[in-house]
Amino acid sequence: MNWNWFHKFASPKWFYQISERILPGLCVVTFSLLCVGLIWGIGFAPADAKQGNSFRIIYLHVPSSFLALAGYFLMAFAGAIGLVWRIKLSFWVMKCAAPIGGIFTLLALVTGGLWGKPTWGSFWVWDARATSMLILLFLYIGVYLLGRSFQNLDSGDKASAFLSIIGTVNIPIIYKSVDWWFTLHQPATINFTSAPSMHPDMFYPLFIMIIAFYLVYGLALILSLRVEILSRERKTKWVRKLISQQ
Amino acid sequence: MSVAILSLKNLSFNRNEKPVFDPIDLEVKEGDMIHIKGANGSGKTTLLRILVGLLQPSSGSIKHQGVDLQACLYDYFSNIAYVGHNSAVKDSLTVFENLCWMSGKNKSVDSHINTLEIFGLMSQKDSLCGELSAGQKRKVALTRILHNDAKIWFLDEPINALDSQGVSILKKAMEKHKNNQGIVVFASHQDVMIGDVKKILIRNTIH
Amino acid sequence: MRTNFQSNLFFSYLKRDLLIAFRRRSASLNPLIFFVMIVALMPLSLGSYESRLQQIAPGVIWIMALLSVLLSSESLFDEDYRDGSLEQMIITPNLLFMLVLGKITAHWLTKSLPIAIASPLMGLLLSMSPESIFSLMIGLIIGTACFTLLGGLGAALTVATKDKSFLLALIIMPLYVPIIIFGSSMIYYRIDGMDWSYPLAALLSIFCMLTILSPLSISGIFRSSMVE
Repeated sequence: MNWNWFHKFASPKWFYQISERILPGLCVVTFSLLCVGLIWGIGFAPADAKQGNSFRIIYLHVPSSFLALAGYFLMAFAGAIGLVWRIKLSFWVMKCAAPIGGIFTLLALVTGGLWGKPTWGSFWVWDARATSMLILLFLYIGVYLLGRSFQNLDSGDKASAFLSIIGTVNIPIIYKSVDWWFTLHQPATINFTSAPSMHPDMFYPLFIMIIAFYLVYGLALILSLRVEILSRERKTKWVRKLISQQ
Repeated sequence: MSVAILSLKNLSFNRNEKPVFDPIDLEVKEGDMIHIKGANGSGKTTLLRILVGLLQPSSGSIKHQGVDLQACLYDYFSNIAYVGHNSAVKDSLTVFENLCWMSGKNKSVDSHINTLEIFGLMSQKDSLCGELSAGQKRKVALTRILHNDAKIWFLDEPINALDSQGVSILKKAMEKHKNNQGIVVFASHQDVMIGDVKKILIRNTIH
Repeated sequence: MRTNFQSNLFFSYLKRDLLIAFRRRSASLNPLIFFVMIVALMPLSLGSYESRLQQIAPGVIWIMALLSVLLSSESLFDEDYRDGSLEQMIITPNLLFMLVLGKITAHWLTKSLPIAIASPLMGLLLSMSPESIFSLMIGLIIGTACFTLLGGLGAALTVATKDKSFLLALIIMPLYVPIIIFGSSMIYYRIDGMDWSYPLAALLSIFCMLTILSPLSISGIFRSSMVE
C-alpha cells in the first residue's frame, strides 16, 4: 500500500505550511462565532425562570466542559497514533493538547463554581461531575508534567502518551466510582442530572458557543503546535531557511 | 555467500531532533569481531544500544538475517548477550548468585563454578558484590557473558576498569568466541590490541 | 513446557527480589515505620476525642497507607535502572510480563503487605470497632496490592526522569481515586450495617484488571525504547 500521503500529512513542514494558509480564515470565523454567541447569549436570550440571569454562565460552562473531556480523548488518541505509527507530529499534537485541555478544564471548574454560588449557595459541591472534572484536571497536569521532565524529549513524548492512554481507560472507572460515592454520602437535595428542557432561544446561542469553543480549541492547538514544530525542528534546514528569510 | 547476521543500512539516530552520529552502513557475518571506535560522546553506546534492540533507529534499517529487527526481536534476544555501560551486578547478591540469576536455567552448579575460575573470582564466590571494586564487578558481568550460549556478544567499554591480567583473559575469550563462528561487537574509545578486528569509526560531522 | 518456563521466570524474579529485600531488612521496613508514625501523629493533631477519631479513622488509615505505598513505589525499578539490570531484563527473550509481575509481587510482599497487616493495630489506636477493623484489613490487603500495581506503572513511566518521587505521586494519585473510594466505603458500609460485599467486589475486580493491565503496560513502556 502507498503510505506516502500518510507520511506527508504527518510531516511537520507540510503542516506548518498548510496551517499558515488556514489560520487567517479560521481566526475570522472563530472570533465572529464567539462574538455572536456571547452577545446573543448574554444580551438577548431570555432569562431562566428559576435562576434568573445567573444561568447565563452556562454559555461558557457547558462548552468548556465539553472540550475538557473531548480534549482528553483527542490527546490520548494522538498519543496512541504516535506510539503505534511512530509519528512525531502526532506526539506533538498530544503534547500541545495537554495544557490547552487543562485550561479548558480549569475554566469549566471556575465557571461551574461561579454558577453554583448563586444557585445553590456554595462555590464547590462534591458532586460526581465536579469531582470528576477536578480529577480530570489532575490527569492533565500529570500528562503535562511528565512530558516535560525528560532530558530526551522523545522519551517524554512516549511517556506522556502512555499516561494519557492509561488515563483514558481510567476515566470511566473514576467517573463511575465517584458517582457511586456521591450517591452514598450525599442526600439528594438538589437534582443535578435532570436537565430542564431548554427554550430554543436559549439553546441556539449555546449551540453557537459550543461550535465557537471547538474552533477556539482548534485554533489554540494549531498555534501552539506551530510553536512546538519550530522549536523542535530548529536544527533542520527548512526552519533555518525560514528564520533567515525574516 | 551466507546471509549477513546483522546488516545496517544508512542507520542514524536522532536525539532531540539532532543526529547523534553520521549514518552508518555495516555488515556483520559469522566470525566477525567489530570494534566501534569513537571519542567520548560520539554515540558508541547509543549505537550499541540500537544493535542490541534497546533503542529504535530514527532512520535507516537494521536487519537480522535479512529480517527487520523489530519483527524478530524475541528470536534475536535469545541470540545475544550484552554487557552494558553499567554492569547489571546486584550489590546485595553474592558473586555466585549474580552469576546464576542472569544465565540460562539449564546450567549446572558445577559449570557456574568452572566459569568463575576464568576470571579468578573463585575466592570471592560467596562475598556480596557491594563489597567488590568496580573492576571486579566488571569481571562478574563478563563472566556472565562467557557462561551464556549467545552467538553475538555486545560489550560496551569492556576493558575499562579491568587490570592487565583481566584484559588478556578477556581478549583470549573474545578470540575463542570468534573462532567458534561467534560474533563479538565491542565499543571502546581506545585501541585494543587484538588480532583481525574490523574497526568502525563513528563520529558526528553534522555538528 | 514454555508456560512452565515463564512461571519459573516469575518465581526466579520473585525470589531474587525477596532475597535482596531480606538482605536489606532495615530499608524494607521503612514504609511500614512511616505508616505507623504518621497514623500515630493523627490524634495529636485532631484531638483524642474517641467519637471523632472513630469517624475519621478509616479514611485516615487508607490515605496514609496510600502515601506509604506511593513513597516506596519509586524504588521498584530505580535500582535496576541505575545498575543496568533493567536493560538486561528488557533484552531477555521472555515475556517481560512475568518478570515485572514477579518484581511487583516481591515489592508488595515486602513493602506494602506489612502496612495492611499492621493496620488493625492502628485501627485500635484510633479506637475503631472490631468489625470495622476486620473490613479495614481485608480492604487494605487488596488495596495495597492495587496501589503497588499502579505505583509500578508510575515508577516505569518516571524511571528515566530526574526528580521522580514527586512526579510519580502526581501522575499516579488521580488513578488511585476508585480504589480509595471503594476501599473506605467497605468500612463505612460495615459500620452502617449494610452489605459490604458490593464495594469489596468492586475492589476485587479493579485488582484483577490491574494484575493484567499494569504489568502489560509496564512491559510496553520498557520495550518502547523509552528508557534511556
